[in-house]
Amino acid sequence: MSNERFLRSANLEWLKKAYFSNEQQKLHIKQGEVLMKQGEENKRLYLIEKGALTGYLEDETGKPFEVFRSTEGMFVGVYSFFSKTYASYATIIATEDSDLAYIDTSVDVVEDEECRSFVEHFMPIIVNELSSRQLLAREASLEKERTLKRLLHHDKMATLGEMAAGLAHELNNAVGVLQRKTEWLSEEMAGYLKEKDSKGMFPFFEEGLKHGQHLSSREVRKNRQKLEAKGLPSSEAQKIARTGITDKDLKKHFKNDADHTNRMYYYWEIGTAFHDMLLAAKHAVHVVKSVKQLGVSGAERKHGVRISDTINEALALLNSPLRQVNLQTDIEEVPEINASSGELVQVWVNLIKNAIESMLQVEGLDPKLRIACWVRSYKIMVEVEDNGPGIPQAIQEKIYEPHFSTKNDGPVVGLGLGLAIVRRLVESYQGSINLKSRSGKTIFNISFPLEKDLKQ
Amino acid sequence: MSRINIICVDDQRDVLTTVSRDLQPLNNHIDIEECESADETLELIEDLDSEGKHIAVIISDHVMPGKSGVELLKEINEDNRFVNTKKVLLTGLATHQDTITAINQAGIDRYLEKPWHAEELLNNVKELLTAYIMESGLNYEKYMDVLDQPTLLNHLRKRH
Repeated sequence: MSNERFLRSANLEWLKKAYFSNEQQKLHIKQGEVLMKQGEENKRLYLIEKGALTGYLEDETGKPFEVFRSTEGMFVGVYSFFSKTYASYATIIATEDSDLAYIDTSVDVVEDEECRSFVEHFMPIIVNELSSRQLLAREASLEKERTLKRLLHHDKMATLGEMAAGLAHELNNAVGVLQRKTEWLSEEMAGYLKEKDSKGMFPFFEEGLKHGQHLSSREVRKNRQKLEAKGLPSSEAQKIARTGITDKDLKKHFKNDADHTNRMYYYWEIGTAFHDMLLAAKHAVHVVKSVKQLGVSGAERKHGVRISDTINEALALLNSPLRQVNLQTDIEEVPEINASSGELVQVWVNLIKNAIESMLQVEGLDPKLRIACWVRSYKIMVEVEDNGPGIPQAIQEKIYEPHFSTKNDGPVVGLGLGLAIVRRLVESYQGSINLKSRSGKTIFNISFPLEKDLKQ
Repeated sequence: MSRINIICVDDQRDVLTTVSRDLQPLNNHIDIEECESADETLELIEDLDSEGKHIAVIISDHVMPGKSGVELLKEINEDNRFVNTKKVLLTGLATHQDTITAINQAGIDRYLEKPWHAEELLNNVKELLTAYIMESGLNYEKYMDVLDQPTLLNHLRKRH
């Protein structure tokens, strides 16, 4: 058959009319009814005039899974009819009430002016069917691949989250004990020292407990040098210098008596030790709490979450890396929304970590990080801005892809799980994320819609 | 007789005072200095050096604003005036790459991990202090109380 003749034969409308107009060969099938069963005889080729049918195969456990869907204008039974096996390869069930027309094996060729054969007439249908099934198979395997990836990724995250939560739970008790016992001990110690004190030293304990060492190492050195110049021995000068005691108080207490100085410093040092312990315990409790929230799996969303609070949680978690940059925060207190604070903390941690890491790549840069949060026209806006090298235009869209990374020194073990998660999380709140970046200025802008009841 | 100094560097003040507190047993013979940044340390060693004072050991944190601990120790390592000065990195946060740089380029003598044990820190510093005193040819007898005996014996054996 010449190509031209074949192309002209592809007149489906003619074919449908010529072969499927016999009123004796029409069928109405109700939703849920079975048209044919897998492996059973089928000698008919059906045209769907109205409605839709779905084909199922059974898996090894006998559970049906969908293999194709056919709608108005499409054919079913193509395989059994044309392969001459006359056995249906799938079970076909009506997805909705459908009108069908059919031909069977006794059909005669309908003659046309060019005397084409039956196979010539039906060739387009067979090829079409073949190609659409192939497309379906390709689609299905792609979807499977995507699902698998998503599952694996989700699994990895869930495991990390659970680990974090488990760890936080363990630490929670230990840190809690440390905090409470430190508080108790500092109170007991205060009582004991007060009782024992006969030389008016107790105020130094109180001063230390209240303020810790508030002088920088530089200030202490300057103080010490001043005292040494006044003729005080080095070790005593160092002690007095540390306490930050004022000149006026110094005159009162300064008796050029090593014992006196040592006792005073002793009281002060015990006070500062408790001051530091209490502060450290408080910090540890805060970090553990933040990690616990981060690890909340299933991420239950509750009302009463303030975005500004979640930003502060993230900043607490990143206390250490943040010390390497200049941080500026303009965080307004914003209305509460329905959210999982763990999810939001994760968003901020990721963005802030990325910003810090990109800035630290640039040698000699004075790294500046700005984090702002405010409300504008029914939206809560958050901005994370850095003065790092920027993200090249060419990869700005790519950065949200899972497993995309610009970091090349091995896997980064930490809390950062990538911008893919950030975008997924933000979008799950009907929020949006925008990036503006050039060398020296990169801004991630995230907006969340305010809830309806707050819109008035 | 010019004094011997040990310098502690950490940007977190509570950590810094804890480190120097742990080294107080050396205080009668050695001056313990504290610095909160790499730059402050570099200024201080200039001052101490110009006063003819010895800098025996520098114990530095790694992650700090401005210059990192490894950068600081590298700079000191490259300075001819401080060839005998012992360098300790005390950190919980150095990456693999930082550690390689610390060993290869900063020539650190000890790597101690946070959280540290007071006794371990003190012993390490004593060993390094002893080595510094011996290598610089100072009169070690004055410092007997704070020297590490095995290190001292080792050096004396080498001398003869």
